[in-house]
Amino acid sequence: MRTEQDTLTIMPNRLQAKQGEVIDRSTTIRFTFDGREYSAHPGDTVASALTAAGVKVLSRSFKYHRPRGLLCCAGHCPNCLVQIGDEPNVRACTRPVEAGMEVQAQNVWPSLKRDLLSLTELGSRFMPVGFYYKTFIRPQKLWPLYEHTLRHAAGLGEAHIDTPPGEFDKQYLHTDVVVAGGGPAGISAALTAAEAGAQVLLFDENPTLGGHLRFTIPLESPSSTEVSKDSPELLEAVNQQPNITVFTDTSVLGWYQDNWLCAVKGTRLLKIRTKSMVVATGAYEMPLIFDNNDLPGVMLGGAVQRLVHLFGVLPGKQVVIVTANEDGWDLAADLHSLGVNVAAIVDEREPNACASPYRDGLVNAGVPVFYRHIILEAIGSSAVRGVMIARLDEHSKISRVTTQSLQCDLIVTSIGWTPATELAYMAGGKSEYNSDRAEILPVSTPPGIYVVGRAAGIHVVDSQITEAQQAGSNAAAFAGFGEFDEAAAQSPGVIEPRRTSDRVCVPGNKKRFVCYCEDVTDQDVETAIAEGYDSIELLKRYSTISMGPCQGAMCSMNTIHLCARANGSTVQETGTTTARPPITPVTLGALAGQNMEPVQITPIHQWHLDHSADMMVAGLWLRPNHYGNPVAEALCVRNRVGLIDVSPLGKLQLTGPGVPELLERIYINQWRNLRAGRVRYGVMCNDEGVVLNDGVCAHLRDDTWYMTTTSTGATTVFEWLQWWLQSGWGEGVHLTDLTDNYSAFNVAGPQSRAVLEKLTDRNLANKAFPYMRIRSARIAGVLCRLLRIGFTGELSYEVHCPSGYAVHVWEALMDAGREFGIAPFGVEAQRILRLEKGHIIVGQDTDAMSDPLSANMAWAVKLDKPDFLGKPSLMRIFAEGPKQLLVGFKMVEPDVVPAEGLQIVVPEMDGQLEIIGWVTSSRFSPTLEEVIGLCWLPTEIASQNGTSFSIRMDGHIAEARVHHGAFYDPDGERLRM
Amino acid sequence: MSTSKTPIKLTPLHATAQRLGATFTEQRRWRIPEVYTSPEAEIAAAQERLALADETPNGKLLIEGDQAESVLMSTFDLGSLQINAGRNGIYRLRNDLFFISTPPGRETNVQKKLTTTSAASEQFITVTEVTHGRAEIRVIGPDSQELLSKVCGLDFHPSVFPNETAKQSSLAKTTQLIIRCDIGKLSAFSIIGTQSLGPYVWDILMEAGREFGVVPIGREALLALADN
Ligand code: FES
Ligand code: FES
Repeated sequence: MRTEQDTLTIMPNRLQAKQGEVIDRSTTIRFTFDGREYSAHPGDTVASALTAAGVKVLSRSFKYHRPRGLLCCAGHCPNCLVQIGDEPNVRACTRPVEAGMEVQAQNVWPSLKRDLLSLTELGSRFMPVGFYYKTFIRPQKLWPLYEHTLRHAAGLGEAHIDTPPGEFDKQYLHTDVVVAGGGPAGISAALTAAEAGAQVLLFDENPTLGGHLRFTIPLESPSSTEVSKDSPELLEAVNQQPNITVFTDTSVLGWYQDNWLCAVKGTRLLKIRTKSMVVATGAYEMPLIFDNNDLPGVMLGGAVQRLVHLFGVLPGKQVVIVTANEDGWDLAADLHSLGVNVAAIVDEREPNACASPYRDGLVNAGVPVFYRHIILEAIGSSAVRGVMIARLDEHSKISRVTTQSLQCDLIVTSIGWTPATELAYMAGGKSEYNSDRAEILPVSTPPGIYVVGRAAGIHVVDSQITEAQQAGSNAAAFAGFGEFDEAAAQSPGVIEPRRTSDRVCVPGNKKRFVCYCEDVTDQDVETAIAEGYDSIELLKRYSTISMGPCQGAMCSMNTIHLCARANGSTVQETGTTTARPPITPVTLGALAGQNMEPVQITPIHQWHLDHSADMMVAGLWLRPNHYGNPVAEALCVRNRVGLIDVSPLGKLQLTGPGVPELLERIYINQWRNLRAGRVRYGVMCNDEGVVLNDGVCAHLRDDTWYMTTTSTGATTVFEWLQWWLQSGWGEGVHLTDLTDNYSAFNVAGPQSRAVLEKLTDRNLANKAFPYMRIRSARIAGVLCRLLRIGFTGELSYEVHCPSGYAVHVWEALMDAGREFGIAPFGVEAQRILRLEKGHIIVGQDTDAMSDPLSANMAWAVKLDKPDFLGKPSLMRIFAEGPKQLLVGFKMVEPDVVPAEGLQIVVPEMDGQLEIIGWVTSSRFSPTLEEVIGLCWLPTEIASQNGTSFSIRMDGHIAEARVHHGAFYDPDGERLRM
Repeated sequence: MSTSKTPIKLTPLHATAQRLGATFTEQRRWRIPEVYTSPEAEIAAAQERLALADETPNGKLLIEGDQAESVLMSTFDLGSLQINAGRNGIYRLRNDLFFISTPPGRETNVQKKLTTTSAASEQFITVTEVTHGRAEIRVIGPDSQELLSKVCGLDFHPSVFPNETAKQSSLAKTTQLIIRCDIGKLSAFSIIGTQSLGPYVWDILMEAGREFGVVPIGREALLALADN
């Protein structure tokens, strides 16, 4: 068993156990950081455990690779970003440590301790703000080298390509009231709204509710608010309230139109629709800008309180507190009561401005206090060794002659707060600079949006609670629960003492960081403004300030002050940058969520898999490409009989007296005269005369028609028809999509009739059931629609059966076909067969420019119809004549198959090749034993049968000849057998 | 003509059920899962957590036409309100389009009745049976709302989505008709959509439901749940 002494050896910065801490001291777990083993207790974060072990440097900065340590300990800065296993950019101060965790510093080379890239700082003179806009531009061809080097030098962790995909998902939530922030204000608002009957979702980014009450423990509590008593009571009340659902460890990322919020909880993205919202997101503690202000060991007051009270960790032994408000004194008293050596309190105010109840106690205890003093510099190279301070004269100027240094290993700054009001501003709230408070505070919000607590500039807990209760009650009323609290509307607001200093920057001669994320100094800000980037929005874009992982939480307010000062304007005139989601970084995995890529399969899918089908993707469908040998499959259709699953074909039912008129308008060819029982091939164009889709349409009986479309065009055609039906052409027409209701199989080949005859009583003789007819027929006992059509050029029948019977009918066809040598065939064999017939595939052989005249479908266009979609365009196209034609070709060499998409070229005078066309389809035809294809060619070449032309192959030119008409059975005799 | 086998209908989820180890039974010539593990375990999962069942055999009809509502009212002797509220398995999809859900096998009779009434009324009405074209997945259990909230943006709270009402929505990037059809006090929803997407939707629901301990259940458990 580990003794207290052992613990102190391995965790020298661990304090004695005390109430309120979240660690379990009875257990010790181990993890590694940069290859070295460390100990921790369950409940520790990675950062608290490392701090307990005395580790100060957790990361290196983005640009200059300066050592960085904990700053905020609240997940609001970039200083503790580490890589954990495969996961980059983890905030060590918020991620609970786990046994066996492998933590690595990121953005270091070769190591965290000795990072050679920190030498870049020596060249910082040559890398001023915006240097990447000015340098590395020429010579252009060196850019890949620059890019590689820059990416290596600056960056945020590494995403490994072989990392297995994580499990992410999303959830949609609906509620009456959202409360963002679970501190005393948020909890109070939530309770009041819930008591009024509203359903409340309460979000907090921390693992438990309570906000600052969790770690700002008053001592003898001489102040008016006994906060330590409030916290457990509030938490208990939340637990008891069934209308509140609490989401801890959850960051609200943004507000979108109509109170649509987005939040992230671990690997889950939450999308929330709410009626009203209370913003209780607290405030960010502001860092102070002074020489070496980024040195490990310079921390914000809240960070130290978190470490001390939640994790029992003290990040230093000798503490200097730099402050401008009572919060610094609270902290000093807090630390002093824990026996910590408070080496000095440096307060920029006059002694009489300090109203801290702890003042006398601290002074009497001998804590040195420096009023009217300010910090000049943090001393040290990789960690704080001391501090340089100086007096302010009567004009508040630094009196350099009074400079003195103090020894310490921890500098804590507590100089003010920036309200975290991003959500309110995204929702349309307005803010103003309050010069008395030196804070930008919300002054108005849209209806249903309320801001409370520190986000509204209220720091006194009693006031936070009262105001939040009013806001909670109004948020509930806005959502329809209870009455509006009129008193709240008339309330003059809370009068708070000033807590924020407007002295944000202390001049000096070393580096002073404004933006820690992007390594931007106050000097950089001045340079940028001098270069003309003097508006806050331009300054942001040019310098990248506030565009780092903390999204400006640490630097926005200070930048506004610097910008105002440099321009000689006020903070109010300078304004703020626009708040945009996400407020905190979010992984792309969380945004993507669960993998949801819809896949459509036919009822025969399993059969295909069981018969070694090689599946291919066609739109959303998975279809058999072939079953091992597509050429054999094609020959089987030519010589015997084959069966293909064409279920993905679009199948639309049109009913009503208005259908013929609709078809006349939708298709380019004639329909009115198609008698019942007949089928016709049809082509659709859009209003520009471009071929949209093709397929057959059958007149089933009276007012009922059955249209088929291409497999991948089914949804497009359905929506296209719907659009026209709803735009005035719907009179007397009903449209139903039956694509999935019927599965479809094509029995193709000279023996197809013989196969079907075994399964039906229907007379299939050519006379009784000729080509391009439709009949109802029982096939294997199932009532089907039977269409005598075909894409393959052989006698063939398309069997459309109710999908539930699909497997039964398919298997019956295969059984019946066995004696005739039937074989299933896939899309590849079908493509060979259709190419032999010269049939085009819309979308493969045509594109968004192809009209029917050029695509060899002129025969279908009936310009004498009164009107149809595309007619005006087609009249013009017909009058002008086609410039290009889609035409067949044969390769001169029998074994060269040009890939689809290859260019057709002619040599120019200068030896270059001019592109005059391209190949759209090509295959070796096993029937003809030749290579055939379709291509686009200029009309003058395409219109001459036999004209030869050149195809640019990989490294050589191949010759081909124009071929008019079908390659196989040009008169279509086999179809009509 | 020769055909040895009696035609049997398979649901789009048949292969999925086979993969999950179901034994099968027949209902109105549909082959459907009877039991996956044991009826007791399946009933307990549905009552305490979450279960999925294949209910594709339920009859499905579409009735379209400006006068569809009045034809439905006269055929089934219903008041207008009842139709709009989605009672009696009739759900309005559009002003002139209704979806009708029937117990398995009843769709033929209902279709006949509707066709007769609309012919008599001389209204332009189209009645189409779409049972074969739609997969129907029943989500049952106390966690069903939670599960659906992971794949669909609708509010499934009973105050907003009461029992026996239906909504059309995008679910896992597909279009589905969702009907709330509680079994007594047990929350339940039917997810009805294109049959070719059925296996995909089933797999998505199973994956999203893993955290709730979702299990597939067969007809035996379904009957017992209905009896209870
Ligand atoms: S120290 Fe971890 S985010 Fe600031
Ligand atoms: S400090 Fe993070 S963006 Fe500036």
